[in-house]
Amino acid sequence: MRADRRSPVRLDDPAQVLVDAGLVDAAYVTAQLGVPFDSRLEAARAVVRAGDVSPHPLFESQWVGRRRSWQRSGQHPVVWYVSERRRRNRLAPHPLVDPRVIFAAYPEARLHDYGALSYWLSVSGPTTPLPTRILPRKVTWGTYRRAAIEAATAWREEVIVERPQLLLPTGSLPTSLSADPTSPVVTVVMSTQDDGPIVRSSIVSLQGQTVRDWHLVVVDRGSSDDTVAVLRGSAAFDPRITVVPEARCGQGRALNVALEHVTSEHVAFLPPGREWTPDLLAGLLTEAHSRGAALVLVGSGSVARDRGELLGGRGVDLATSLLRRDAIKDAGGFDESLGGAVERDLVLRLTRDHAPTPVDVPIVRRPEPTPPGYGDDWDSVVLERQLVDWEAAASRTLDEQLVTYVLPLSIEPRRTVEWLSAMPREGVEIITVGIGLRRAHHVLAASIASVVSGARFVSIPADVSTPAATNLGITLAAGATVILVRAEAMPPRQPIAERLAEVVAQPDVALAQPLIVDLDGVILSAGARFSAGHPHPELFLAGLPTSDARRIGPYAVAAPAAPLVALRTSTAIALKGLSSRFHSVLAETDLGLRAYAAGFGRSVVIPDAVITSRTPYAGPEELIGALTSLRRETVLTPPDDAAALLRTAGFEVLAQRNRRVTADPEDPLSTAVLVPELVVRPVLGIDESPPRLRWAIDIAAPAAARGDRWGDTYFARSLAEAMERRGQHVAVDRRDARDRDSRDFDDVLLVLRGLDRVAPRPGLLNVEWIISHPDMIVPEEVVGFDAVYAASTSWAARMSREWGLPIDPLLQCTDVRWFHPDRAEPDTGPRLLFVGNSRGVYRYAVRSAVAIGADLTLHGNDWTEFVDRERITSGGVANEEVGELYASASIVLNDHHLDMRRDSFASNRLFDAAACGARILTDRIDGIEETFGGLVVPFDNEHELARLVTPPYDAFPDNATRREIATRVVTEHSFDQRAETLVDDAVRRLLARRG
Amino acid sequence: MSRLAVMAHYDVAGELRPHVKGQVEALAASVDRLVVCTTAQLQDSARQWLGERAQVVERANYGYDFFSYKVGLDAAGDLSAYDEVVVCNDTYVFALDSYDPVFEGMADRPCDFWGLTAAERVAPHIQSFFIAFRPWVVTSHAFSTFWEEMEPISKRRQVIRRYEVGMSRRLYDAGFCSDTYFVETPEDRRIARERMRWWAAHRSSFPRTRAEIREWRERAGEPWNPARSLADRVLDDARLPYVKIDTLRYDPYNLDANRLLELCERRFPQRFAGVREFLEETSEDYPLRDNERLHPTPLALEPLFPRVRYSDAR
Repeated sequence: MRADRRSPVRLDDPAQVLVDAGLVDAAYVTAQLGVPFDSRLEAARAVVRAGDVSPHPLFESQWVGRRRSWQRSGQHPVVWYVSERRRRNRLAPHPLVDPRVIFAAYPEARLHDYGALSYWLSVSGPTTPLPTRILPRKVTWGTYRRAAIEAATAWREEVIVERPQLLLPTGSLPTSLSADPTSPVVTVVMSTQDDGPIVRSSIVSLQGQTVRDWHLVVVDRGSSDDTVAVLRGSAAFDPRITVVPEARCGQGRALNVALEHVTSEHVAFLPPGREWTPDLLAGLLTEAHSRGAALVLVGSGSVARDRGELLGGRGVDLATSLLRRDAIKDAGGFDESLGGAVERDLVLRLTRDHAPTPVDVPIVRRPEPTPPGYGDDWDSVVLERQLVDWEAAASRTLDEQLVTYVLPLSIEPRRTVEWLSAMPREGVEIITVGIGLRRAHHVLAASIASVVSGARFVSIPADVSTPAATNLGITLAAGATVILVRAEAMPPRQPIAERLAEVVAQPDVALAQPLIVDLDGVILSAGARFSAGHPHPELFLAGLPTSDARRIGPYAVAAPAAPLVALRTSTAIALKGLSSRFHSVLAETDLGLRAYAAGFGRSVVIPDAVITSRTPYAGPEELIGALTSLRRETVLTPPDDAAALLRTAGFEVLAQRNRRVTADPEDPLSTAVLVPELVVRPVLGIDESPPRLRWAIDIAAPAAARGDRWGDTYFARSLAEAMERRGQHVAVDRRDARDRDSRDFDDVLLVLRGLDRVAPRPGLLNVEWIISHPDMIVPEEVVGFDAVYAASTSWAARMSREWGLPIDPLLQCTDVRWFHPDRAEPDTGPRLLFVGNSRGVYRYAVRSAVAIGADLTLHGNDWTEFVDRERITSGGVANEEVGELYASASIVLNDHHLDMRRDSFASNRLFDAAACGARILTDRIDGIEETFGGLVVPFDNEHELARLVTPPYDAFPDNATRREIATRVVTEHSFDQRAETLVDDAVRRLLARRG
Repeated sequence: MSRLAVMAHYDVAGELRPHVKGQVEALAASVDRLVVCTTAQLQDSARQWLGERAQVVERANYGYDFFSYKVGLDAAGDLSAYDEVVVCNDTYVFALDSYDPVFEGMADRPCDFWGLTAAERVAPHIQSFFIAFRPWVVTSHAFSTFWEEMEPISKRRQVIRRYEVGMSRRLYDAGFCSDTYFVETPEDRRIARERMRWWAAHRSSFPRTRAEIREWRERAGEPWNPARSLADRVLDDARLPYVKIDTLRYDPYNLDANRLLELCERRFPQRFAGVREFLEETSEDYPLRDNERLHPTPLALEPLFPRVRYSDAR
């Protein structure tokens, strides 16, 4: 174990540790707890006592994670953090604190008793920029501190509010309660539907009330069981009961019908299955009469006691409430258009004019709330009505140049920070909507949003559906285009806002969605299509590689199906946004269909804009629930162009089948839906002229952003484009997409052998091109392929001989679109250039250049641990721009992996730089002279390097000769050349296989 | 109030025994329409006597009494025309001259269906030898599907489980509630429990192991059947207005059923006339079922017999 170099500190008093470490900000603690402190120690003690309170704006235990570690050890998270010896220095205690930035600026921070943050705070002032790279511009510590304190204060005001006091009973029931002796004192209203087994107990509890002068009106909503018979049985022996059988209808309609029978001043509601304590009606009536209240409710438990709590999402329990009949009438009665939550809706409307009177009357324990399913979310619908002001939004002026992202936040703070830090700065704003967030997330989101330009944070305390939260964001949007994002969507790797805004600005387009891929890079959704007569949508192109969608180009679909869609803000407002009935998925599909029906235009998929989704489109239960919600609407679907679109992608539609989606595949009785699925097959292209094959190029780079900067990715992309130019259909599959089922549609699997050994796929022509890591290749691997190429002439010849297996030489190559001698004038750029990532090793070429003190220009990632930051010019250069650097540089440096050098696998960089006519210095491999003429000169040690990098570069040909050689390299070693070889070979082999 | 009764009848000799005639007359006096569904091969005289008092439906002998109920109800036509529909059989001796006191006693009792007695063995249920249904039950889904789905069953135990217990369960599940004419008093419950203990002591040999003691206790704690445990309540002004033939025939709890019959003959001479002869004449046709066979009374328990035997409860 490495020795701990810190001086020992005492950790037995957490509060003192907080103070000593400088990790207590009394003003920030005050903002969270609402209590002033005289000293930092006092604030620290309050933090330790309070539990979930952050002691400092730059320390958030929820961000540090590892909760189990400190809980298990019984430590305060700060104490755990500062006592974690080796690991502590790598942990970020806050999204805006990057220990690597601190250590780069202050190496001595590694030795600080309380870690990097504590050290940084000790040397920083209010004007010091925060130690982070995720913010687009420098934000000072003082600015962020103010923002954090404001955010914490706002959180406290919103969340930590005192509940309204319950009123104690005032006395006994007046002797004369009803002005009209012919009317009962109270009418009890009940709505039933298929409640036969539970209705009697409720009636019995009503019959047991101490108040005897009641009238029960039961409206049955067309029960298919014996509810009406049971009710008639009760009514036969009790004249106070009136049964009103109705046809199948909603709860709102039934309750309104019941209200028509009410003759008393007050109305109580008794849902079937609920029971009352014998004194409940008497208690409620007493309070209603003595206080003259329009709405008396029993406020014990979690139900709302006032309008504020109602809007905050607390529940409504009409079964323990008493309402004045005229107040209900004034409020317009129950809303019959709602499929649920009619009680909450009524009370929300009623409380606009009448403050509820919460009383403390004993009640039978309320039933546990039903866990939210995936069906219609009516609670969100009624809450949205109170929270979202569409009329005000419609009257606002929008900025045509601005695109507004609306992002309801998930429960995961990292996703929030990811989005806030990923936004492009110009022309874009982002509105993050927190839905009942916990303190840490709320404060982080609000404070970071306030220091990111164009970002805003709004909070909804109630737990509403994602669409309802999105709608609030839409009404606040300043941009003329809104992009509605669900939390599972990862931020775009390339800016897409402008592209989407362009598309939705077209007159016949209502919505646009990017291509949605899963974490493996395979299409999850390219829009929703509907088959004739089928109420459910199919996720178009799901399971296919993205290249198939790109081949189609932008196209219209019935509706979007994506966690990210764009539309004009005015369209969104006119359509009143997403339907809040949907919990999440398919709300965008519903919006697209409504937009089409309302004449706003069609939905369009933009395949060259790609978004990765962290999760599958929907879980089975989620999808089943959402499909039920979608079915409720009259679905007017645009004509289906799927067959024509698929033909463009190279497929023909054979049939349509239904796929059963079930909540529990093991249970045949579990809820299930059928979703349509087109049965397709690829159009046979080998007989076309020129022959067209479907290729899957398999590379070892991982999916998403992680793999974007791999050399394999650039290589495969250039090769694929060269093959596409030859009429081929090519998909580039990164490591994670290797097992996609749609590979069976392909003709050829071309494995660009990198770090992974790939199993050949039966039925396809399997081709392997070994371009690196030759020492990993074994004969058992090679024998499984129909054709094998190697990027080394000597290695290919040797292995063919040794293994008795045919391996053809096929050298690496260059993309002549970006690499050619005309990219720049020689000697106008860097004197000594290296472009490449460190790969975690201090590479030979860079190490040697640094050792001789050469004037090295270094572009690439992960070099900070080997060379001074000042020496690193950039973290990387776009492939399209590297050619210009090579052509203008005086000398380009190169080196190889050990095994590539040993087996003479010339690197791709050599071809790129040679194509630009650069002078290239590299480690020694065979065959350089034959391939690159005099452009590439090997060096064996630092002395040679020092000599070779010194002008006038006598070891290299003059500019004219180098240009001549470069032109030859361009001609002989382009991706087009390699594509031609590969395609011709594949066609020949496939034709031979067919006989 | 219009009332329909469907009575199931069977007799090995095709006769109408005196107690059956009494039952028919008592019913006919209290209902508007009586349908007797018989599975006996009726003698002409019996057919004629019956035909003068009821609508007679004759059918083959299968499916026990429940299937006769079904056939009788089907024959009755539109059941919704009645304010009360009764199904009953001939397996008991009705102690009163008329059912009027019973119907009047139940008229204001808030329930959806009712019987003379209820039992809890297997599951709580109204004993099926007499059940009355209110009109909202007769027109309910639960009631109609119960009869629609019925198929003849040849095993008595299955008939009890699926139809006797099953009918009550179906109606309870639909939300209906039941009541009984006979209401047990605390004293009834005390003696009934004591008689269950007495019965348990006769169901197996004297317990010697812990397992046997546990078994004995469990059996003694089982719910009682009032038709057996409280059969002598008929003597308490016909509070329990019937005596089951099986109780008299088998003395299933070993409580001296012969004494009960004697007492009944004395108290209700007209209603119990011919019962003794009927039991004797048909004894060979109704042998004791193996699962109801009892052991002799243990010597140690004999002194307790006077406390539990059937007696005149007045």
